Amino acid sequence: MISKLRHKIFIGILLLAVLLAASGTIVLHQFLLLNRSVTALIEDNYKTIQACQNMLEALEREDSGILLLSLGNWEKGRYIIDAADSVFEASMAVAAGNVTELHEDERVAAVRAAYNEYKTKWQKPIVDTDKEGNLNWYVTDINPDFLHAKEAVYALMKLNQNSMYDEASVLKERSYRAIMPGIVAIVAVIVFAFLFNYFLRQSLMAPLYELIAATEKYRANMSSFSFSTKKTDDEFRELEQGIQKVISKVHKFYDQKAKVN
Amino acid sequence: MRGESVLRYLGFILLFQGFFLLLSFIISAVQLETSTVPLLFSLISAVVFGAMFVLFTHPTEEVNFSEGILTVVLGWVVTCLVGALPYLLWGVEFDLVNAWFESVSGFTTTGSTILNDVERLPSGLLFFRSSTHWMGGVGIIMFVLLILPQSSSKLVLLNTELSSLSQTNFKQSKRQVLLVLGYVYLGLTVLQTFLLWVAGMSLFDAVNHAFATIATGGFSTKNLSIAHFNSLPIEVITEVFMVLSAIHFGLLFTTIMGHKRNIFTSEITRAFLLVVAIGITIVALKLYADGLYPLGTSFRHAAFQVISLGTTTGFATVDTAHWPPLAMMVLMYFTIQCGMVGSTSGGLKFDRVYIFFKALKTQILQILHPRLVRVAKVDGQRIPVEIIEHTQVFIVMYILIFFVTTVVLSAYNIDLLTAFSASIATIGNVGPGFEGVSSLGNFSGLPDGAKVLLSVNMLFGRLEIFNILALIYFTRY
Repeated sequence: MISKLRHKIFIGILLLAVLLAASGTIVLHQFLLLNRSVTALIEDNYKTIQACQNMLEALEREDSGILLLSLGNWEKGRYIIDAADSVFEASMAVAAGNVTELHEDERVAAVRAAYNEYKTKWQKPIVDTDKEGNLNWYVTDINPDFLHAKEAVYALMKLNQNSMYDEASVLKERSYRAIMPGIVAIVAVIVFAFLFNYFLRQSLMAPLYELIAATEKYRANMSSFSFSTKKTDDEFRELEQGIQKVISKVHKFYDQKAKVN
Repeated sequence: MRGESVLRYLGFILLFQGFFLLLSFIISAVQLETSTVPLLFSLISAVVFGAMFVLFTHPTEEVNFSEGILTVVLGWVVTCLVGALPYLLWGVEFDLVNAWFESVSGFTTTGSTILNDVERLPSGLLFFRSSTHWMGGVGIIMFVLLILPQSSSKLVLLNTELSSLSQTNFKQSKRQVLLVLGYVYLGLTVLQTFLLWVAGMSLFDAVNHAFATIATGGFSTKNLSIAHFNSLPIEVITEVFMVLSAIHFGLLFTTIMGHKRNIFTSEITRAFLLVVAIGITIVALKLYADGLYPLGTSFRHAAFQVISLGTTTGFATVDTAHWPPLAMMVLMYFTIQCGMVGSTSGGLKFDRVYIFFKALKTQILQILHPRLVRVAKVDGQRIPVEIIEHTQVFIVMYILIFFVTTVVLSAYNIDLLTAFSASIATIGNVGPGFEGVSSLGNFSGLPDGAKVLLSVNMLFGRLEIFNILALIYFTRY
């Protein structure tokens, strides 16, 4: 039990400050984590997923280019294939430089291996060879490698998509955890304010009213000055003692004056 | 009524709760878990309010009866509110209603859960969840009284928290009753933790399961409860401690101390053990006769489930939802009867059932032989008329509350078996019921209104009805 009023008020405000500071810090911390999750979501997964989509598109275009070559359209076929290859390589570089998930390096290596295998097939001349117009060659040699490369890219994309889904769930939980302390803190501070007000009324206002009543009573009949029903040792006790001293001095003064007269 | 004296005790209760929040926070922080921040914030809130209540109020030499009642009831409500904070702040499966339900279920040692995946909870939160059982087992107010210096206020609060019937078997002075409760409670917890650890549980699981067993709570750290461990020694240890926790702690103390009056000479204890044994035998034989399990396995599962429900613990080793109706009816009887007074067990209490039948027998004899003077006796001593009357009123109130709860739950279109068993399981602080809320199921599927109603039921059960009713009367008159 704290006896002095100044200590009570100080500790009350200190407790409120601790509550507010704690909730503020926690909310801030949660928002930082949230920010980190969003960054991770964009940097770690979305970037690779985008790269995978570009790789898939490039593979499709390369496939069209090969078909054009096998139809004897050398110039247009080579142009499409080279453009798609540079897109693929650029996207591959993005994916290889953004390995953030467990086993992602293995998936990237698998894409590289499958693509190299596929690439060796269309790098060799096609136009003016027995491959030109040879649908059988396309179906047995090119298409399986094309599908295999696509599967490897899909596997890499799926890994990142799953991870992105997990990260989004975490993000949802983190946003909840960032908001809740704030809401709870608002409720807690309101409850605290009511209770603090109650305690202040008990320790400050109640004795003050008692003091006023005691002073009024003394003024009315000039008898003894009695105050404080509670055994407190706060500033009101000191005030009471001070008033008692003043009263006794006043009484002494009147007594002496009466004797002189 | 002096609000200050009530607030002062609430302050001590919050600080005591803060101690367990601190332990849970440390566990969580060491493992860098997601529950670290929720536990820290709950800890700060509990300590800030607890400190304010203690520092701003004057110590009171005496609290009167109405203040005692208000302290006990508010103590439970505030404890449950603060206990809901870590769950609410952590989220996932916990919204406001679910967090409140889980907290009330923990502190009242009911053991009903809304969690579909208990194992997803971080270990710090799991520890806090089990410790709510342990704090609520003998009552958080008891712990506070145990710590505080001696005063006459303590006796008023002790009388309010412990029913008059449960005080009958304490032969010690009222001041010593608290110490006896403390020694037995702590002793049983330490011993069971050690034995479970030796039997193969990790220390963390052993502590959590010991907390839940001694408090007859039932929260497990595993989705499959005790079935997860699939270990006969663990089941046997748990069964023994569930039974011990459902016996009057005063009698356990006198037994350990080698006194003449002990669990072996107590008429009610012997009757309780006999009824449990009969229940196990009936269920086991029915399971065997229906070809569900071989004889040995039938006895193994029957023993665990009967003891678990009969002591209001609520652990499970099998899903009883698929058991034959007779076995379910026997289990339901034990859900109503429960353990003995003066233990951590909830519900109607076996002593009341025993006294009721003793009084009934006397009444029948009185009707047959109007001039015969006969009184109901237990252990050769006359049962005071006021205890008989109190017991009868309690039983009527108990039945009335679970009937009303069942009717209200039915209004939510919950099937009758689920509604009925959920009502009994919550007012009896047992935990699992049948059908939709069976032993390996949970309460998550119930509507929010039903969950709130059932949590009020748990508080009614834990506070033995009269305290809450007395508070309502005090506020009215």
